[in-house]
Amino acid sequence: MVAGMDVVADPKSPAVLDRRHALFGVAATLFAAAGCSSATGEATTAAPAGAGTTTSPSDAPPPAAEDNGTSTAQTNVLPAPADIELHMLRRLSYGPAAEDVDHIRLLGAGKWLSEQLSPDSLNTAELEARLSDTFPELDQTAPELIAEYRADGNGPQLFSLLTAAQFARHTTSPAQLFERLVEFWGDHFNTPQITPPATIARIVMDREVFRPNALGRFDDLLVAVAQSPSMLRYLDNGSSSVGAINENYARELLELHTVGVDGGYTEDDIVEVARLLTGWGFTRELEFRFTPARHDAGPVSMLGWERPASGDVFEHGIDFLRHLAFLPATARFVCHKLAVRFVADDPDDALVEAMAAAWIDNNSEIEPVVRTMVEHPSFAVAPPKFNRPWDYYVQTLRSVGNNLDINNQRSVRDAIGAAQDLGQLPFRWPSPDGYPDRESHWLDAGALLARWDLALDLTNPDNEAIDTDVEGRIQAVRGLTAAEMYDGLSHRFRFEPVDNPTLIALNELTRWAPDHRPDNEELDEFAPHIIFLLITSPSALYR
Amino acid sequence: MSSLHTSFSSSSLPPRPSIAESETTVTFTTSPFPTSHLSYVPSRRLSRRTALASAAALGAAGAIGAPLLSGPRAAARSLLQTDTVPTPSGRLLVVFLRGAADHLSMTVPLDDPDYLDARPNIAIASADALDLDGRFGFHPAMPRLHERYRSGLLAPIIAVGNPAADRSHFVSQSLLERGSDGSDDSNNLGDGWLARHLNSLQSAHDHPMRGITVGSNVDASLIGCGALGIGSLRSFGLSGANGVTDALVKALSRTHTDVHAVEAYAEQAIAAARAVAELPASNERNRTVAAFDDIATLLDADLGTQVITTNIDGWDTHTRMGNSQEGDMRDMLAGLDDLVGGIADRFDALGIDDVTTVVVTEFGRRVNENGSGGCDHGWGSAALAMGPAVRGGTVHGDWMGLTPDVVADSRGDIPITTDYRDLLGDALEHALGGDPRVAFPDHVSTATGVFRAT
Repeated sequence: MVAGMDVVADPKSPAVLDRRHALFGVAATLFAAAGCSSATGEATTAAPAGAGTTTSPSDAPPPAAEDNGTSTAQTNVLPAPADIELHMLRRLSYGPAAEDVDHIRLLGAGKWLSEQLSPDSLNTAELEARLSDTFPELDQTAPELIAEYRADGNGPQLFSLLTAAQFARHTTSPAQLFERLVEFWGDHFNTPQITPPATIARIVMDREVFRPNALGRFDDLLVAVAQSPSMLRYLDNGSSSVGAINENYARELLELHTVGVDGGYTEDDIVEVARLLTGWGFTRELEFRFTPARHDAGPVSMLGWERPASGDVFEHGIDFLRHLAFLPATARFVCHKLAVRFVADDPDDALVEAMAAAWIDNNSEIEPVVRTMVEHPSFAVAPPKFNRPWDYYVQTLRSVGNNLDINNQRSVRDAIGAAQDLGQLPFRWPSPDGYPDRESHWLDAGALLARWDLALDLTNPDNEAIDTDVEGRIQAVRGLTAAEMYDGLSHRFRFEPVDNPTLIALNELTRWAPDHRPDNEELDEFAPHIIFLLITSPSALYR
Repeated sequence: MSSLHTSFSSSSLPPRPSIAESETTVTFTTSPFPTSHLSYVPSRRLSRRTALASAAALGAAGAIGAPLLSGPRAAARSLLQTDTVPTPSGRLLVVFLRGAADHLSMTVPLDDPDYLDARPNIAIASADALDLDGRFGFHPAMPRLHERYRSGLLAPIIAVGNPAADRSHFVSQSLLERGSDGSDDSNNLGDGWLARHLNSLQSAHDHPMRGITVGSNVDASLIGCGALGIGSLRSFGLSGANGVTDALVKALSRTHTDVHAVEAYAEQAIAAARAVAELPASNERNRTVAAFDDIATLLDADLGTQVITTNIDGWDTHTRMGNSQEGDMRDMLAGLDDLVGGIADRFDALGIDDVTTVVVTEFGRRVNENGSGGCDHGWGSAALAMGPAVRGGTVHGDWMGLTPDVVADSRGDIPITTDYRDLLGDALEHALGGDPRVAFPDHVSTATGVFRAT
């Protein structure tokens, strides 16, 4: 496949990509200076002078790129991640929010990463208590949820509450990287949910499979998924039995979950795997059950694994899943996917190999793999990564200071409707491969329109249905000159100076001289549109 | 805009399913299609499209004079300045059945003992099938398409597929959409087969609506030519009620200027939003039904669109396929009949006679049923074609039968006799006047006979 960047042929800017990489060279140097690679993650300020500890409007712009002779034709490319702390927030969290920027400036990149990789050390108790309070169903067992559903047929609500909980966690949880990993594994092991019992199974899967294992070991995660009624239902392994197998799960286990489509297996291997996992099913109460009478206990052999002559036939299946998890092909396949999520649509081989090595060395433990990825030189010089719709949505909510009122059913429904309009409703991708993660899938004219529309909603001062901090931030720039105000708003919403094309557009829109001090009436007229242009600028489309 | 978020009502909730079952097989009381998306479209922005349209109409009138024709079609066309784009000789609609639609339940071999042996629980009885040519019949849930066949307007094609014979959904969908057979050479094709065709037409360059995917983001078959994704006409466009002014749109265009990856899309978005804001959007809550409604509207408006792709999801029937009277295949095929038969009726009613419709899937399913009343992944599939140049009323393609020898020789699958590239290449040539060698550069085509020479 071509890279998404190449989709639009633009003869005017043939050197853009090269120039971007040149700019990122600066970032690599800064990143090394941040001490992020050191084991202790000692914090030193990574950002360029002036941007280290404050987000005030008077921050100096990032240093100009070293002139290598290619950057004269066009200056207004996407900004380089010269500020490594901001870069980390954009890639590893759901976008910078004011308090997170303050926090990472205080800690430094290295300590912040260590903190994110130990989510237990972060204070998520308050948020989780609020969620439990609002959505007691999230803590209920499958039999309890089934009994309730049978009693009152509460189907669509079950779907929306997991999405609402995700909204709350992604916008406000301090454990941002953890939440990103939970979402990643949800895509990797996608089981779409629309109605009960799928919704119920997915709620339980979120709580008992993804959250406990998101930063644990992949083999544990794989075994937990294989036994989850959500997966057993969706890919039909629950209905596969000796002499009457169903290949659906076995195929996707190899193709999507572990070794990948080029992982060296055959059609016969798929049948072997399906036979080995016969009898794995679930009860009417959506609890895992192994039924020996449905199990094919005959000899099986595939992918370097052979069934032992003795022992527990159910345990053989577990043993095979762990064998799969530790295969180099699995390490490379899953690490590549992680790198696509967090680094680039086409990640460097060296990065993937380093991650895969960490995987093998640590028995598929996820934390060292993620740390290896972030500390690898490729991470700091990562090219712009196009935000998926959900990324853009949550990033924008965090940047405008919006908190979804999860107690208000209409707010929740509106939020879900907006996610649908953007084209990425959580938990609803219809096939087992999860939502795509490449720019070529997401970037088109319709996608831009949907994002512009969202941004119009969020910046509309008359829109009382959405609670944001937009008004307050406009107050803060009253009395400033136009130039100061643009930069001030840019720092408040984008945490960076206003970029060149946006500055030109703002000047054309307001027709204010740089030293003009807009009065209150002028500001009220133009500020929402200024903010709209800032949060829809191309740099906001990428993370 | 105080009314923005007040338009929700309980009627915006999804229809309650009549049975609660898995995603691929949910049966809604109103439609069999769970599809890839929610079955409801929240009406958040009823007035979003109006203001932009009127602002744009002013701009258009100023730019190229008042429209000569009247009504939304003329206004939309004038906004796109489609007078600069030659009207294509024909238009193409490609419907992709995602998930591998079963050949033998859709285009059923009649009086075939091997078929009944292979599928003891889920075969469609010959007596129930809607006879096509004495050898094959449609599933009884397909009366509209059957009627079109009888009128000579529709052609079924049997045993279609990709020589690659890959049983992965994702690999096979990608190969089909890129026009590849999985060989080393053709596997390097990055753009979609339809994108290669559109890119080859000098006259249509930069037209914002020449290739559109309706119902989702742009399909892989259109990636590489700056095609447009319209999730739905209803949600497409800018919210006029949010005070969108021409100055703001201009500024928006400016912020995207010279940013390589997004500039062209931003221009296209603005142009398309202005044009589409003129068109009536479907109010259907089911997204797939709405997509077909919107396709008819877009083709009726004739905005210079040459190719539209759309998808019907949910064909991955590993379980509960059922029989003539009930089951997932009956529901899915009844939906197919409503959607594809329905849009053909709409074309007739609107006087649209230049659209060729092709219905394909990534591969067919295994000949033998599996242990769950379904079928696992297979190979040969059934396709459909309708349109002005289609030789309808005939079942096209060769059939090698389902005897144990034949099936064993093709790993338990239906062996293919028509390369999908021959079918799509013929459609391209006869519907659009395109060159199959551009769309499928590594393939030497063989005429399928599905289309009349023009």
